[in-house]
Amino acid sequence: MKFKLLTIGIVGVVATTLADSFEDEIITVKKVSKFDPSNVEFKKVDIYPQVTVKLNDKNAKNADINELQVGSVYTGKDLYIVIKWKDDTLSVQPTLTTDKYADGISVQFPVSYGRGKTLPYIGMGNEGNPVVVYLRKMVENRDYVKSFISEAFGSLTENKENTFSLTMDYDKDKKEYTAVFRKSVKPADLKSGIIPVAFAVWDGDSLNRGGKKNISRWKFLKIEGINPDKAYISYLSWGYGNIGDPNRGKELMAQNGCNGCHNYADQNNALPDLAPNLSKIGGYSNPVYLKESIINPSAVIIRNLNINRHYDKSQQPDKNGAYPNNEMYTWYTKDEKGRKISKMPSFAHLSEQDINDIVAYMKTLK
Amino acid sequence: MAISRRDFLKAVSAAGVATSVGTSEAFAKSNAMIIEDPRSSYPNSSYIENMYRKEFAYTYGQKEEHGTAYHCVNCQGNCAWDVWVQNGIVTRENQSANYPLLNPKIPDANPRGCNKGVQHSQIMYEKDRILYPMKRVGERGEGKWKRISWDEAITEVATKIYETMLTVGPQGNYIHVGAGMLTEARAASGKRLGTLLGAVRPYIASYVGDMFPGVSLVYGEGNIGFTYDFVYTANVQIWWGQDPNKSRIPDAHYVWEGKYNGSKVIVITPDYNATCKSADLWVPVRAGYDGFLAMAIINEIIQKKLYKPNFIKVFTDLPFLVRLDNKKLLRLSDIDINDPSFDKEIFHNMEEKAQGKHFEEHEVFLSYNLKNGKFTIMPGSEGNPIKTLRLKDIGWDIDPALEGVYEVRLKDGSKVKVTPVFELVKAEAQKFAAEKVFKLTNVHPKIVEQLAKDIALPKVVTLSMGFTIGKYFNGMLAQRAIASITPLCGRLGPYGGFNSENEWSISGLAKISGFGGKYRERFASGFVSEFVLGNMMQDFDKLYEEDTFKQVMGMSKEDYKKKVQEMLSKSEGDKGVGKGKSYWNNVQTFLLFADARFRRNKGSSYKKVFLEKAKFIAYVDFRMSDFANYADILLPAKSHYEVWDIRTNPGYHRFANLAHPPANLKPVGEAKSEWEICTMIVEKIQEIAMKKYKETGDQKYIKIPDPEFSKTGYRDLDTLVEEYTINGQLRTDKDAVEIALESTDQFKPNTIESMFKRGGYLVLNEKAGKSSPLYPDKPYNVFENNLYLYERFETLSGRITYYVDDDLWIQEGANVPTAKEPIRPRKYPFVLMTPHARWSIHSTYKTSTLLLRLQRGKPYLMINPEIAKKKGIKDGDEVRVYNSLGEFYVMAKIYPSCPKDAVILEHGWEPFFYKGRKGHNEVVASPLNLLELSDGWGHLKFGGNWDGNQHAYETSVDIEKV
Amino acid sequence: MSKRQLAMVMDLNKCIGCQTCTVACKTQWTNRNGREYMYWNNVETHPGHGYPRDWMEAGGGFDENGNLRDGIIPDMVLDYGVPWDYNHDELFNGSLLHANTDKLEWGPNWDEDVGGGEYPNSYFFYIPRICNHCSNPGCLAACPREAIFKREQDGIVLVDLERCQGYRYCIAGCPYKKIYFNPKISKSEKCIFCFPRVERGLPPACAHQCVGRIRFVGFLDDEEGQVYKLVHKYKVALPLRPDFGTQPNVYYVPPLFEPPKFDENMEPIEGSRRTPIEYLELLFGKEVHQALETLKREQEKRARGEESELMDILIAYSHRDMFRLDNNYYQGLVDKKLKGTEFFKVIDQRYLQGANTQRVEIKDYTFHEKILPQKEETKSSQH
Repeated sequence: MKFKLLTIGIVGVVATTLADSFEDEIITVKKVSKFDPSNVEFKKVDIYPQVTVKLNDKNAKNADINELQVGSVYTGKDLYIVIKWKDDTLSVQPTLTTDKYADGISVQFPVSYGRGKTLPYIGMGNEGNPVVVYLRKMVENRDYVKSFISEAFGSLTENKENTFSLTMDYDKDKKEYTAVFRKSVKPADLKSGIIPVAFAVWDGDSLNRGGKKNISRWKFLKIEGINPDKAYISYLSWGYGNIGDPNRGKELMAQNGCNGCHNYADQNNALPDLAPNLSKIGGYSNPVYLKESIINPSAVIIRNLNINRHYDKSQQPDKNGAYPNNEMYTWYTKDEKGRKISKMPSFAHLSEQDINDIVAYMKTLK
Repeated sequence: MAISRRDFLKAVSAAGVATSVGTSEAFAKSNAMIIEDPRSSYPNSSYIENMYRKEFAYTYGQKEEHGTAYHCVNCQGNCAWDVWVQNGIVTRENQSANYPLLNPKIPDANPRGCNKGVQHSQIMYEKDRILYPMKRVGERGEGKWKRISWDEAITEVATKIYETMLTVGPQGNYIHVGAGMLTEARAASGKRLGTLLGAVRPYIASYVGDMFPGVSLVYGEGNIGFTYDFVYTANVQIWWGQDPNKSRIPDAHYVWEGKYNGSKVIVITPDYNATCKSADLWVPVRAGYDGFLAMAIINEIIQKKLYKPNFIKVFTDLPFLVRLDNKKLLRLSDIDINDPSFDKEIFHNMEEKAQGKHFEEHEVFLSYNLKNGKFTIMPGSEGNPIKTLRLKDIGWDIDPALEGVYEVRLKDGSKVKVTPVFELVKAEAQKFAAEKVFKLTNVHPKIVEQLAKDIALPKVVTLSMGFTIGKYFNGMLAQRAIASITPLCGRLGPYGGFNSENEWSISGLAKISGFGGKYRERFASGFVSEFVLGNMMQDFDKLYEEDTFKQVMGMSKEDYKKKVQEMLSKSEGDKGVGKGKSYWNNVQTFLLFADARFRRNKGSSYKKVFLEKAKFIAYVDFRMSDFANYADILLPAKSHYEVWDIRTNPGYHRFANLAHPPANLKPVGEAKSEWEICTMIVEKIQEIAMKKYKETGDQKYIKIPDPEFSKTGYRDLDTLVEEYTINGQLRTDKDAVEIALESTDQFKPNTIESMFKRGGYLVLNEKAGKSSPLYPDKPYNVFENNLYLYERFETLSGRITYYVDDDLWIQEGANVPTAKEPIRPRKYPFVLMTPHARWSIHSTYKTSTLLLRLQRGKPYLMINPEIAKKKGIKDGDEVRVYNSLGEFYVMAKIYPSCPKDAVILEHGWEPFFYKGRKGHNEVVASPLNLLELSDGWGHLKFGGNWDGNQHAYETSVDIEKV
Repeated sequence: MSKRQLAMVMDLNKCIGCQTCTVACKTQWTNRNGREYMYWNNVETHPGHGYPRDWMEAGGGFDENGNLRDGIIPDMVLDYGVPWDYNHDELFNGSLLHANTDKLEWGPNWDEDVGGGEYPNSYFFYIPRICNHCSNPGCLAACPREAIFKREQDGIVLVDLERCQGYRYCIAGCPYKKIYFNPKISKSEKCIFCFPRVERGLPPACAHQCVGRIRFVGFLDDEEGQVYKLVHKYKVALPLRPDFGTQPNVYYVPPLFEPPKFDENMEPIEGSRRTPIEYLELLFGKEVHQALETLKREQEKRARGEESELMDILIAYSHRDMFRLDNNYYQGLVDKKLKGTEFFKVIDQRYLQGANTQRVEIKDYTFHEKILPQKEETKSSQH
């Protein structure tokens, strides 16, 4: 009740300019006696192509699937999440081909959440802040469901877990997928009242797989009848609505040289892969993360993909002709203690308004 | 395997995130593994490493359980393999690669093997494997079979053979071991059975068309030459009508190592084949005109005086005198020995030296001795008891003239002009001068000039000739002409010379093949038997053009046919033995081993005619060949990894290999070895015969009359088993190997154990060399004993033979080396060349899935791009290949290395690969060549060295897109 | 980056295109488990499309600045060729033998011996290809899961199938297309340089069983070895497509041998080349000129009867000496758990020489003798 007012308050002010509200991030989890797909309430969830890191398949395309319908219920024992989305083509990965890919869905949760916990990086978590990923793919002759733990790009590690299920069905007439995620969750684990969750969808005929996918921001499951932790809410809800002037934010980014390393919007002169590509950052990042990463870039270290994608040809190769990796493309350095330090300098010196304006602009990058 | 601790610690800490107040962790977690740089270190390599290690360990099994083997097929490569086995199932094979380094300066023979041998493990369990004895229940070829017991099957076979002996006689049976089984021990089983029962057995080499009659004519034997390591030592290697990179895969490395060692490699073939691609010179001779090129080279050698007079005077018949009145050799029996022009003193001294041994005057020949201007007899010829070739010895000193015309007085006092063979050869060769035949051969005179030099001048030159040369109607003449080149330049033994294929002398095997001379075998001419069996004259009629034939052969098709009939009629049946090419025409009961004949027989009519004549066909093989489909009884044979066997010849190398089944090998179906099968058959025949005899008391049931071929005048069926098994010593394939090892000098000292330990081979000892010593550390080449010890050749003249004065040969102008054009129909623009394939040994392994995937999955025809374009054919299209004899359908492969006047189809495809079961032999006729048919002159007497060929290349076709 | 690098040299002048290597590899590794269509070792005719079809145009590898290039994943039917099967069982019903697909349109050796040029001046040669176990591997670099690694002890490149998720970016990343997607297990697999054989004293199947005797195997830092001498001392062994930037560890002695062309009168043109030198440059880089000259020079020397170490090496008198597996090195590395188990029991004594191993002299040519374990212990302890 309470924070509903709060959001209304915010909305009241900015409705004219920006239609983004923390409210939109909330997916209410209804308490039910037993799961019945027919009376699940759905809410729209936007998804965007993952472009932070680039993969190397010439023919792979960004899928044009840009929204999901998500609903959730809790039976007191099992948490259910139902996801629907439109996909014109059913793509099942066959057993006798080399270049066909599967449609797929994944649901991602932080390993730890609640008061004092920052959100893990949306892209497979970050070091020290792991996520769990539940994945389903349409593979011929195989029930391809997996659970992973991950705390950075490339760290996805299979996780033998059997307390969940994830089904995926295609309705040929509606050209629509319905996925149902079920996981037994003890009430004790819901005491924070809020569970961050994120979604990813793969489109087989766009050659989507791995990092080539469309993803959502962190969304928040609010369990009916539990008062969420205020501190946690105020952390998560920072930055929604009209917090500044996007146009000024864009100028500030240019002035502060962001475009020297990052590519975004019409700013594409940075060497690709030198730093995360921000073109869709507003689509799949929550405002609070954007602020954090400006003020304290090392709080969340984002790892580039496989650092061997860039060899330093200016160095001497070793006796076997192996070139050292090109440090330029690792997004962090290490201090004497071996701690990872983001190569991006802190911009904490900027005024709060400057930062808000920059975030306001980044939110428009989708 | 450095496991990065840091990575693990990090992962652990990630997992161990403390949960502070109000936080929750609903989601199970394990360790997320972060890999810093997989190029320098990887935390968890052992999972995948052990997976592959396990997989390898599985295929490898236990070394002590491995078997050794080679592949008993008609490539004759004969390579030692280590057969891997797991739980009694063969997993794969790996060459033993353990042959010794004979000489530190000559490459060793390892790892002998090829792309076909390396996959036998895969086809030995293929679904076409014949697992049980089966009886035909539908029509022949209909594919309806009933599984029967071994006893039922053997009873049926034995009964049919026995009944045939009673009704027709032994010659009514035809027991033949096909080209799929050519080894000393294993093949002996069926041959021994045939000999014991007096059944007809055609000569395999001629029957498949792999004879070298033209070579036998020149050297007295057809299979002569080197061990392949010899070419490594050559300054010039010539490969004529051969493609060692494809058809001698295990030995080909010697060619290129030889090139690195400084030898020049020359390939003479119509197509730019896999060997040409790395040669120093490729000679693109036109298909079927090899003889013309050979004659051009001979002419060049003579005209440029590149020949070695002192050599040819001693080792060839070139100085022998020929009467100009009748083109006959001048014989001692012709002349008046009292005429002063005859050197009586030399004759006298030789007589003395002969110590009363008789001179066969008509086989003693003369030359004109420049030393004293007299005619003298020459030592060493068939009729001269003086067997040396030495021309200077105590008692004689002969410098025979090579040129000139002389007059000699005959017995009747008349005088005739005579001249040395050399003059006639020179005259004949001049007709083939390089510039004259350029248009026919497609070989530029400059190349001929070069070839003559390359053959004559260097120290060591090898000239190796392939089987394709003999596959033309006049190929025997081409073989002869090619084989006649190198002797002019004195090339024998260490100086190289001609190579067809070397054969070791392996004594003592008579024990497993023969019966101490009690029984003679009904040894039949291969090419004649096939021709008669399939009424192949029909095909000759249909295919060949009257005018072309007449223009080439100088006689009409009718006259030719009459002549053939006349010659054949002499040599048919028991009475015909010794009167020409033996054959028996009333065969009706067939027991065939590993003989996929319908893929090989030429012509469109053979199959139908054969199936009408064959009242009963029992077929023994390990796989369902196209022919097996037409048998009445199928008997499942073991394949190469399941049997005991030993193999030596041919002599591409000096090793005899051992087939030693893996320990605890699980049997494949109910397959049995050929030895076991034959033993069961003789046991059953004797049983049935004895029963009949006991019932009737009539001797005729156990004593089958066979006056010509049995010393006792009978085939004694009451003692069959004792005789076949040597009183029980020789019942199985293992017995055969043990006896072979005991009774063969050239194998000593060896046992199965010593061979097995070494990796499945033994090194032949020095006794294996036929006409040269087999030195322990030197490559082998023939005729060193002739060269250094003046030993005679097994020819009429005792020498390398250029002249044949048989009437027919004189009539055909073949008394001297010459060449004749192909008779293929001119109205079809393309010669059909069907060379050996890289991918199969004839039909063996053609059906291998793994190998078919490395080809095009079905028969394909190689076509020159320009021709294809003209015909509107694209790569992959289906094309119809046809002529007046028949047609077949194949996939087109556009192939720039194919000449424009030929199409190439690798042979061996069985009919069941083709639409309508019509194989490529549908368009091929194989007429009998009269000269190959001729018999009785000097050393040209029917036998292992003198039979004829099948003429697979003597056809032309047209093609069209379907 | 690996401590040592195991490498292979293939002499294209001795390659006869027989494909014994291909089949040996198949029966050793790829005739099962979803690998049926793969050829970890293949031999292709050049000039030609190669296998998989047109792999040289399929991208991957690194640009001149060392950055991974995009690539594509070849198609099973059009580029690899389907591993068709046959109805062998139906031969017993009198039926014809045929493939179980009508898609006989492409295969791993489809353009065998086709090459280029026109009769009588056509030309072709063979290139056997395995995984190059590159020092800068494109597949390894492309893997977003970092599931591909180089073994520290010998630089062999492996895929960790426990970690691989079957994304196939590795296939796009390998410019040689020598890593394959296994559709049955939905993971990538590739040539493993037969490391389980090598660790036990047996050379890789493709090399050990090569009847053309064209393949040398040894460590690049073993200065006594032929590999070192051919690559570093004489510089006649060159990597394939060095421009792809992955630094392969399989090297080729380029094709020197070929007959002269003919002019329109069928007269041979002295000193003419059939294979355009530009094509060899494309394959082996500019260094090919130097390599061919060296080969020619040494061959002529030998033809004159002079000594030539290079020719001696290429001739390879003793098959055994073509392999230097330096077994003590491996045995010294065996982790305790595996020592003495089937994984590390030496099964062949003949190929053990190398920088860290004394040449094992085998006097009599016994082969099926059991190898005594304690003999192993003493040798590995030298390390």
